[in-house]
Amino acid sequence: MALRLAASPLALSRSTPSLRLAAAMRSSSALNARVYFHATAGPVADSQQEDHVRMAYSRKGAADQGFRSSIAKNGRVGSIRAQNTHLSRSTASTAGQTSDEVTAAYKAVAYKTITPNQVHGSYHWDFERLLTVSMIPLFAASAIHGAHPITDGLLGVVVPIHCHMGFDAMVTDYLHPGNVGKWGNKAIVWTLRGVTVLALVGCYQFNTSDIGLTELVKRSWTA
Amino acid sequence: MFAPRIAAPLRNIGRVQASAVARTAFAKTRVMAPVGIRILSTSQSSLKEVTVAPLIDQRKNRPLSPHLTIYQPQLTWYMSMFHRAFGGAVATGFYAGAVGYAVAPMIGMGFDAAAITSLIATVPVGAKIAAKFIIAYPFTFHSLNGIRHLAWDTTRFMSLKGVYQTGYVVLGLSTVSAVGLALI
Repeated sequence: MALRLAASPLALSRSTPSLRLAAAMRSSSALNARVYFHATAGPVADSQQEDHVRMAYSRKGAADQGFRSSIAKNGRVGSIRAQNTHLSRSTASTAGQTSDEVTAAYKAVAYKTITPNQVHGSYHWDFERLLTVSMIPLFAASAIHGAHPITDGLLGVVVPIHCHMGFDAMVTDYLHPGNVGKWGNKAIVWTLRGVTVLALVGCYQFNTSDIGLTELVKRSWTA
Repeated sequence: MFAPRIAAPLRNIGRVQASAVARTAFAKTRVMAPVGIRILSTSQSSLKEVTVAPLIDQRKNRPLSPHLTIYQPQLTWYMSMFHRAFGGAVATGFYAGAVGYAVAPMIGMGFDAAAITSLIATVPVGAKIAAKFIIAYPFTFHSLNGIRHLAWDTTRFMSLKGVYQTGYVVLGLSTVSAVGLALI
């Protein structure tokens, strides 16, 4: 199901910025859809401005064939314009163009595009926040009640995963392929995954064959 | 949080209104190409090692523009920086302990709860309180600022005033609770 850009945050003129943000978060529910945030203050007045963009990108694969041949195949330039693909995001939102169609038009360029996957997108975000929220009652129960196999077991799973996601964000920001190379980034990411697995194993072993995480903190803190 | 922009829009510089005839004539005599894509290659080789390698070497030698050193210190980005730094520090400590416990039997090192607690008992009291504060403060700061982040994720306190007020609350509460924890 494609996301209509008419539901994009900038179309909701009467809502406050915070509501727009929340609406944008909620509206990015369809697979392969995304919400566009852009900085222009108002709609683009000059529709002639889009001609250049339209002629350049209006045919999928045009970059491969070369524009001369694509124009030759289509005949006159006028017939390309007749395809009428609105590629400006502001005009696209008023024309009801879906984000999928805009993305498809932009895909006809000379760089590699990736298919957006919500597992790495908003689902990852949702999972991260849910995990973080769950840590609050978990730590509170652990502090108030003391050692218990269930809270210790959950801590031994939730805390390493939370740490892993934090480290992963830092690797994405500071140790990305542009910085350390494609294989450097791959090596670091897989090393992090291995270390997280080791941490999970260590927590499990400590919780089962030793006193447990909560009791360790309690005893070492008051030692 | 924000979906990245995959493609940037083209900038039309000096676009002139033209009739349909003129546009056709223009297109037939010129290759219409967006800025940034070359139709004809002018390099002497098509191998990436020859064409791209000098650019990469240039990038390695280029200095980085000042960023953190020149931006005005503000509560916003300082707290964000410390949120990440303290989170990384606490996580590193946690990982070191957990991985050490998992790996210790293979190395033959005695690393269990009893060994840790007996080692800590030998440390003098003053050093213990100082160490506890140094360990507790990153934890309390990261936890309370994390709650502040979660509040932002529900679209609350998303104004400059809200950000600063919650920021000062987090700073105060984290210091007080860290001191309290250190004195236990």
